Formats: sequence, structure tokens, C-alpha cells
Amino acid sequence: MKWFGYTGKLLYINLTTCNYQVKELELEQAVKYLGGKGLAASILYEKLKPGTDPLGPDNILVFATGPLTGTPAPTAGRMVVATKSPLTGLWLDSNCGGFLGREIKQAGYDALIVEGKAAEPVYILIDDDKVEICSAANLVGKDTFDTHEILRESHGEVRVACIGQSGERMDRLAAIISEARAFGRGGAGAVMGSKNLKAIAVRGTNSVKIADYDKFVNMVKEAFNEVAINPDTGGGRNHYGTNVIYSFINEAGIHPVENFTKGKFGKLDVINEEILRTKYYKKDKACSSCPIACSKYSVVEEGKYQGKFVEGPEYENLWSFGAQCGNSDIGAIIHAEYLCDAYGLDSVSVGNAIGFAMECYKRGVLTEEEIGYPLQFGDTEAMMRTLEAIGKGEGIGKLLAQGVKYAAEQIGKGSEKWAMHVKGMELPAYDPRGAYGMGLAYATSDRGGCHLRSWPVAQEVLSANRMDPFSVEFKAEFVKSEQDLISAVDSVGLCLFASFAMTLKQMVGMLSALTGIKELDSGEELLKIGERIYNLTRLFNMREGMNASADNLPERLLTETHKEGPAAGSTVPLEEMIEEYYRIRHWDENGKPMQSKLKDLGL
Amino acid sequence: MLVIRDKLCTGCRLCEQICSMEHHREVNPHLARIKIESKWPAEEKIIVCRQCKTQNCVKACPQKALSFDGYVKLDEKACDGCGQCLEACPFGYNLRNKNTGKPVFCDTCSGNYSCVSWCPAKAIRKGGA
Repeated sequence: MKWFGYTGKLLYINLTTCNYQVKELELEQAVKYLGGKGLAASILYEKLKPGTDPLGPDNILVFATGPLTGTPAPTAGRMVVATKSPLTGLWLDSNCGGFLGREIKQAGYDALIVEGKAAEPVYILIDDDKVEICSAANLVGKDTFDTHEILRESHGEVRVACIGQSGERMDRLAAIISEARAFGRGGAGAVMGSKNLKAIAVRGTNSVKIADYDKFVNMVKEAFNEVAINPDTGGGRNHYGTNVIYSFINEAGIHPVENFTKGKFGKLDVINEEILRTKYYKKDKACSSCPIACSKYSVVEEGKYQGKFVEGPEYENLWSFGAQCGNSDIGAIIHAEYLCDAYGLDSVSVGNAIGFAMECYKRGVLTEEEIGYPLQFGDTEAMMRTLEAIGKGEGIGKLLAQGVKYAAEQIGKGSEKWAMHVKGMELPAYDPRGAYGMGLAYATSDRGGCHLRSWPVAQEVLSANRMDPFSVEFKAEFVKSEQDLISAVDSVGLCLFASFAMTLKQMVGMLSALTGIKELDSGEELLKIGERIYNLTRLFNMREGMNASADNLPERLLTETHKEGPAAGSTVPLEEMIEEYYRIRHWDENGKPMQSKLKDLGL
Repeated sequence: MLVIRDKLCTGCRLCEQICSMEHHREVNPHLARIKIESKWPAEEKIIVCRQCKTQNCVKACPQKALSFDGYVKLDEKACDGCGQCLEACPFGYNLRNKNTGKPVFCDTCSGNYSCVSWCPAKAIRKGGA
């Protein structure tokens, strides 16, 4: 079959046997699961035995592009890594921009599927149809920036994804880094480490073919226009990056402070998006074919962190190393984000974990003796020291690098109550007590405590036509439909942010013109595929033994209230929303998809 | 003539994709007549023939394969790929066809300047003649 958009090839690499094999993509797979997250889910559901040790040789790591990846559709530089997460023991897909996806596509593959475990540290070198497994002896112990540099010195213009020291140690908060962009959440870096796989380096020189050229160009033009005129993607986000929401989230009282004990940071006069823009911002950076350029290269010009820089900081990190730890030194935040990239760590989870340790210290559950130094909220030095300890796997850092759920189990003494995670994944930067929909989104995210499966705060507190943040009305419906839509977006190779602006019609217009697959020319069909994917990852999780009790929130969000701010006195009425959510999803009371729903979705 | 503002370039490389599509109707930056060279963390350089007034390339060609008519034109048959034109370029332009090894030059997309009209950061502009 002649493929357009897709390459039609899947590259299977077995690190135990050092063999590789190219298999054909089935048209049915593309029509049912698109690519990216969906394709990876179909592969993993079929190949991965339930109960597999996430850090054992039988786990599988899938790098998957979408049909639009590597084309000039706006933001079409995205791809996913999917695997069984060592952090949650459940489904994981982690999405990344940059240029790796484009390179894999041009090398001639829709996805790479890595199985087994190498005897010694290795990296995979892909140069179009040439695939080599090379010794990584010279890369062991190197941070991700050095690893990139060494691989480029050896192989010229290759695109790289690699792990740092954290991944090598198989720490559960380890990320995979590709040129300062991250497959951040859920510990995919630890899975790479468990396979003795330090990096992949890819060079691709082939063309992506277009089925209906004129229609594709017109649809892409229209989509670019839509992204440009949208007040978010063409306005605030383009100007401030992801920090566009910082003040709004604080004003709404849902910016978690000191491990979710308050909802508004008291230091907005020294830390906010305007200060970042005027004092630190230097240059816009963008992923492949992205007009939003949300990545804001920033440099610290004075103080202790003078000369430190980062592509960011992102909103989530302005929180995780800011309010979450009670720190308002932007210079420290910038350097913390850089260090997370260098060690190969999930910067959301790491900041959350340090905040957790700070609360344990405050309550006397972790002592100065155990930590080695006082670890108070607001102590920037102590925060950075703890981050270094996590990066190096030393002292208290060794424990925190496994995530708050694991750390709380080890610490005991009631510390579970302060471990802010869902299904083992640390929560990000929104307090759902002032945005109930966000609580449902966290509780029902297929990979655990994450804001990227559904982001109701956009409607609850950020949008003019907002939903009442303190009502359960419409929340289940909204979360379900967004989870389905975003599953599709994560599968075609577009960025979540572009979906804020683009219409479904524009997405499927580009998709069908590019691929020539008529079945994909329907917005309704795209949403159904998204629903199919979300149900498949649900089945994956149920097969691993997960049940409805895991669709939950940390106790604090259900029982404790804030004393001040817009969310004062409020807790998340989760049970009510979950019930409605299951009903709308056609999942039974145990959270299991009903046979009728599976049949309807062709699963 | 093209006016280049490297500092505005975000490194999204859309221009490379669009250029290859204009000339080959498929997406392949390796076939493009424009290239973004990025030096991490924040330096972007736009490599493209600017159709400058010096026309050192035309003068440098031993085969007389180059001429200038609003843009640099290459006589494929006369060119032997020696690359002296590229060496003579004061802006360091250096792109070659990945299959033939012969240099490739911006042909203005018949005056449409696709890279200019698509660049979201407005880092490439059409200047005066």
C-alpha cells in the first residue's frame, strides 16, 4: 500500500538479541488508532503481558509519531513515548515537541518499538534505513546536555532523545530529554535506564508525501490563520509562554502553595509573568512548525544564579519550584528547571516531591538529622540542595526521586496524607478545591495526576464563558469530551495548545488531505477514535489490576479547606462527579467499560 | 532581495518544509533551499541566498554556470558541482542538492517568496530591489 503522511513502517528493536525488524503498519490500525498515543496503545495492549515489571526486560518502550508529525501543519512536531509506568504501574504516554518526531518520520518510521534489555549500556543509531546498536560506554554518567553534544560530535546532525543520571539509576521520576524538551512525566526515563538504553540518535532524509497537495496546503494555511488570530495561541501564550495564566490562576485561589495548604501565593509582587517577561525573557523558541513559540528562553542577569538560563521556565515549574516550595527567587526556579533537564528528571514531580518533604519536615515527620539540614518552606538554598540530592541520588534525594507515594510509604507516620498524587503521579499546579472539574480530570486521568488529559480550568477560571468552578454541573461531560479530543490530538501529532484554536473540521481537513484516508475526514469520527483510545488505556489499566478506588484524589483535597481566598471553605465533591462521569462513559460502577460500549467502539 | 533577521527566528523550521513543498510537492527539509542552523541554546542562523548585489557567486563560477536575473540562476548542465560559488558567498550560503551535490539557490517561488509569507516570526522579509 502507498502511504501518505504515514511512512507505513514500524521499526521493532530488540536489545536482548540486538536484532531489529521492520514491519508494515496496517491500514486498519491507522484508521482505528491514528498514530502517536493511539497507535502506541494498540501495540502495548497487544504485546505487553499484564503484570509485567515496569523496570524489567519485558516492558516495552514505544516512540510513536502521528500522521501529521513532521508536516508543516501548525505545531505538528509532537510525538509520544508510551510504556508501562514505573511510577504508577499503569499506562503511560508522555508527549514531547521539538524535532525528534519529525526526524523519526523522515528516517522512514511511524514508530520505534524497543524491547528487551541490552547487556551493556548502548544507544540506538538510526540513519534512514540503517539501524545500529552502539556501545554507550563513553556516555555513562553524562548528563543529557553532554550526551547530546557527544552524539552530535560523533554523528553530525542527528536528533537525540536520552536519559541523564536519574534514568540510568532507574529513579521513578526520571524523564527522557530531547534537546531541552522532555518526555517528562511518569518515569519513561527509568524504563530506558532499565533497558540499558542511554539514548537514541536519529537522522532522516526521506520525504513525507502528501495525498491531496492543494487541499492540504489550503487547510494548513487556514489552520495557521486560526492559531494566529486566537487570543490565546496568537496572543497571550505567544507573548508570555505558558506563564500567561500565572496571575489568573493565583487570583482564582487555585495556585497550590506549600504543598496545597494555601491557594494563592503571597509573593506575586516579586514573581509573576510580567516580571519574567521584562526581566528574564530573551528570545522565543519554537518546536517544529509551531507559530505559538511558547518556549521563552530566559537568562538570569543578577544575583546568586546570574548567568543561568533555561528554555522556560514553564508555568508548571514556576509553580513546582515556586509556590509549592514557598520559593519566590525566579533565578533559582530557572536553574532548577535547567538541572531537571540535565539530570533527566520530571520537573513537575520533583518540585512536588520537595514540597512534600518540606511539609514532612514542618510536621516533624522528617527530621534535620534524617535530611542532613533544615528543610523549611521558603528556604531556597535548601530546595536547591534537595534538588541536587535528587539528581545525584544521594541522601534524602534517593527516596524523593521515587515519587511521593513511594516516599510516603517508606516514611510512614501518617505522611501519606500529605503525598499529593493520583495513582502515584504527583499533581501539577492547580488546586481543584477552586475548580471542581480539575479534580475530576485529575482523578480520571489515565496516567495519574496530570492536567494534560483534560484541563477544565480553562473554562472554570480562565475563560469569559466560564463554567461555575464550584459547581459539578457539566463537569463530567466536559472532562469526558476533552479526554477524548486530546487523545486524538496526541495521536495525530499536533500540540494540545493548537487544539485551543483549531476547529475539528480543520484538523480532519488537514489529516484527510495529507493521508488520503477518507475515513479520517470527519470530526465525529476523530472524537470517536479519541474515545476508543481512552477506553483502550482504561482497559490497559484495569488489566493491571486497577479499580474504581484509584479514581480518587488525595484526602487533603476532599476534607481540608483553605481559610482564605476565593476557594475558602471548599472541598472537591468528587464522588458525585465520578458517578456521572462513569454513567456518561458507559463504565459500570467498578469503572469498567461496559460490553456495549466496547462493542460500539470496536474494541 | 531577502532581508534576514536571525534574532527573530524561533527555529521552528517551517520555512524548510514549505520550501521543499513549493519545489517538490513533498515535505523534506533536505531538499530545501533554505536552512536554519541552530546553536543551542538560543542562536538561530537563517541560511538562504539573499540575492545580494555583490553576486560574488556568479563571478566566482569557473564554468559560467551562474547568471543573475533578480535571483541566481544555475545552468545545471554547465555546473560541475565544484562549489567555488558557495565559497565566494559573503553570507556563508552553502546548500547543495542532496542527490546531485550541485548548489541550489532561492528562485523566489516565481516572485511569491513562500518562506517570507509563511514565516510566523517574520524573520525573513522581502527587501527592496
